[in-house]
Amino acid sequence: MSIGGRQKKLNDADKFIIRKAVLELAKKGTPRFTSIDDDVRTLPKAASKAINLWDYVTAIGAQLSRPPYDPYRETINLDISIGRKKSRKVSLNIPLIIYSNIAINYSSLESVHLALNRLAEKGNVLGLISETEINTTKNNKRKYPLFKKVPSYRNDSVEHYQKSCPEGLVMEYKDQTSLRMLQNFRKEFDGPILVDVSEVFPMDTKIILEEGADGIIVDTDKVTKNDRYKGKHAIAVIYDARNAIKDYYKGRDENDNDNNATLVIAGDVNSAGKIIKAAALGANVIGYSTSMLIAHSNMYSEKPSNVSSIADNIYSHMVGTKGEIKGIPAALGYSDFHNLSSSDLRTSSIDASLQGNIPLEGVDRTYREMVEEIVNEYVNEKGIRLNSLETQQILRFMVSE
Amino acid sequence: MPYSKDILELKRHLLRAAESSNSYFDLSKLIVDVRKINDSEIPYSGLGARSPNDYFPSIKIIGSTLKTKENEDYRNYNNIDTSFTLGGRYSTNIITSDVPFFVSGMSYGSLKLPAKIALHLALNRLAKEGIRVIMNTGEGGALPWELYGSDDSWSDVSKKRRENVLSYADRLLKEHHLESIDRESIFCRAYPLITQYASGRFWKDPSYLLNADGIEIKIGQGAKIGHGGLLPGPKVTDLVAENRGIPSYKAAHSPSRHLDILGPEDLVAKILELREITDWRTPIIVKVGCSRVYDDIEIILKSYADAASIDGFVGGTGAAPWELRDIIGINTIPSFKPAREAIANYYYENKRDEFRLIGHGSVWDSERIAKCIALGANGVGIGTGFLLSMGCTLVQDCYTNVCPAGLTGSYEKLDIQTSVNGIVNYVKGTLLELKNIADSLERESIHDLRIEDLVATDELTSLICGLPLENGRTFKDHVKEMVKTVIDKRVGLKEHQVDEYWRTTKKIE
Repeated sequence: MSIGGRQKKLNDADKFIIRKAVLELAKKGTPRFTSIDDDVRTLPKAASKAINLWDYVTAIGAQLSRPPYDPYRETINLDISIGRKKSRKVSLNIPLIIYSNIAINYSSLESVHLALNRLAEKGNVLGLISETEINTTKNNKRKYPLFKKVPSYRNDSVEHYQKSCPEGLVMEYKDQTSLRMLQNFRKEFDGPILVDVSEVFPMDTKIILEEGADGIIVDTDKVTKNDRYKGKHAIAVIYDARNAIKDYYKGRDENDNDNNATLVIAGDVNSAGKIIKAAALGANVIGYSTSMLIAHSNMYSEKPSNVSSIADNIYSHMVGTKGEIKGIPAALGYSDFHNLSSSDLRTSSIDASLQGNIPLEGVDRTYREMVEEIVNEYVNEKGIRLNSLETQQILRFMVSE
Repeated sequence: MPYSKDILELKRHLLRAAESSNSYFDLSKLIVDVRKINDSEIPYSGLGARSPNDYFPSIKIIGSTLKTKENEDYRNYNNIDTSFTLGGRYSTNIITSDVPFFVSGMSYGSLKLPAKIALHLALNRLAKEGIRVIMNTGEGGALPWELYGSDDSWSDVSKKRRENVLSYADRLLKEHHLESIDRESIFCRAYPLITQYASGRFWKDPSYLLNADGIEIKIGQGAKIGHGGLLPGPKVTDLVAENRGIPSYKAAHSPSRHLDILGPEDLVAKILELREITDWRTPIIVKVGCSRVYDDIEIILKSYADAASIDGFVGGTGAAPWELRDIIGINTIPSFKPAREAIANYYYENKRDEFRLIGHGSVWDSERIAKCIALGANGVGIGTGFLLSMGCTLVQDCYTNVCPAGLTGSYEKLDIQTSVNGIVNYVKGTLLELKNIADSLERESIHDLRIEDLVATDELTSLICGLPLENGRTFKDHVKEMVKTVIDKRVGLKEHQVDEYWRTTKKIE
């Protein structure tokens, strides 16, 4: 028997069973031979590939014990600033930075630029991470913060990147050379520097922050392809990333006022629901790829491309998304998006509980805590003396996949 | 909503782009993105969230069976009690239903008039046949024949008011081409009615509270916990608006919370206010969406309410923001354990009384009803099950004015008589099945089902519901045995051997 538990995704087959069962009753009014649950149980188990642990994580809403806010009538804060103590701060009104691994053409990037400018004009400032620059004119000046991507294979000086006056830089971290580059850039650049650590995660986060990075970017799609995270989900990556930052601050001087290294999570976080869950797990800002996807989808259109209409699409999409990410924290009882925490999450999956240390629904404790409690109870009952290493080893075994 | 060619094209392009990219995109959710692109609005959806694990199939009732032989006299269960009573804890009146399930709140506006009439006529027919089923109005006000359908409901009503009510009823029927329905037959209500007291206060007639058999204070519902009710603008027709006392064709967003209920003390004050209005006659239920169930039930227990209603996040809705519906709340089944614990703790210090617990969400058939009762519910609310019995096809476009079954839109498609028959059969069949289950367990009442009658088929369900596994062992037994094995075998081994042993054991497991 495995502790992992049986997990099966409800799908259209279940819908068919439910409808068939009720219609049978509605037609005959006599008892049936099997129940809905009998029929659902005989469905083939969903392939593990089809399971996305995000679907098994929900947030607990505000009801009697905690009143909800009203996003239609009250202000819900989404603002955040990026930049640690010594850096110039960059403020965003929506905690999203447009980011993607999708290679898009220049005209699509222009559409993103137009959309971000229009959003900024309406007070919805969000950032863009891009390697390519947009040729701006006097009438088309950039109104949103640009985080210029510094490819690790290039050896250009910081002046090269400052030509486009970016508000921030994004560097890739791969090895000691990247670290030296970061040290050099830090001396010259006063804006926030974010370091993409996806290639080496979770190693070296501490060193990177010590060298003055203002935050780290972790792309869950990339990290889960690494050997260390093979078979793990974005949930585990975000949880570990937040802990890596916490570890960095552990034992540091609390009066230092430096406690806001930014965690940017990108990858499998491309819907409002996932944005909320990622933020609750510890992300400060989301590297949001859907806008790039909308721009990129233009490639598949039979109609001639139109920079303006694609910009309209991205703009509309972002306005809708903003509405969603304001509404959900309000329903959880928060007037500030950034007050979300992992204690707001619950899961119906043992895997998700283990990977993200998320409490199981109904019992409000993590799977690990529940096993730990039983192990301790048993050990005390039997009068067995274990040192902490032994206890950890037993727990590791009990909760191993 | 019928999608325009452009929208479908956009979805196709997005799908292609997503499939060609290195990043992971949830292809099933791309339609949400397309909707946002189309109108900058928050996309809505209807019915309940699709929970990947609602636990119901992972629970079995030991010894019960639905397998009824064709020649067996399955109707011979008259001695089995399936009744459900509500009230009597603080209210002087008690509502009695002959079935432990009732029609969940589905308002006029969310449902079109013919569907509401079908429910009304079906429950009347069932009541005449001796099966009373409670109906909840939902938060959008009640229809004239619901409020003024009982013998004494016209007493104390002025002539002018009476004329207005009858005129509104006539206009409702005319607008929906249902003039052929006899006014006298429709102005008769033989079933108990619960009216919903929600944050939008969409009612303008005092009879909404005075003529109801029960009042449900809706703090929240499973599908949109912490959000408040929602009826999209196109569904707020003139007649719906008139019934609710709101402007036509403007989305009706109820506040996310009652403006006068911000905490436990406010709830007590509100319930006492309603008690005074109804002269302490009417049973009062407080409904919450499932989230912090223990805390919420504890508050309700101490608040002069007669019952608590909990609604899992899989519970249905006419309209809810899609993403919000799918991510807020917990499933119905895991909510019963904290609810039971809160009730047990309260009655440890207080004398047991007539408090009732009602469950909602993902309950469509007798076996699920029985499981809820065994887990601690006294009754369950069913919404989607009744819609399915009227022909719902589960396309989840309830927030639009287009419904393939004519229930939440395209009302002219609905055949009222067929729907009435469907509802009547659904109720009768479900009732027979419930009696069948109780009989197979040799119980005299469906309420004699206990948690001991259930087993879990997997560890997670065992853990979350506090049920033994099919082999009779609990999750705790299982963990303890594993620890014992590990510790026993460890003695005398070196650390690397222990690791090796664990690896081997793991393979065996």
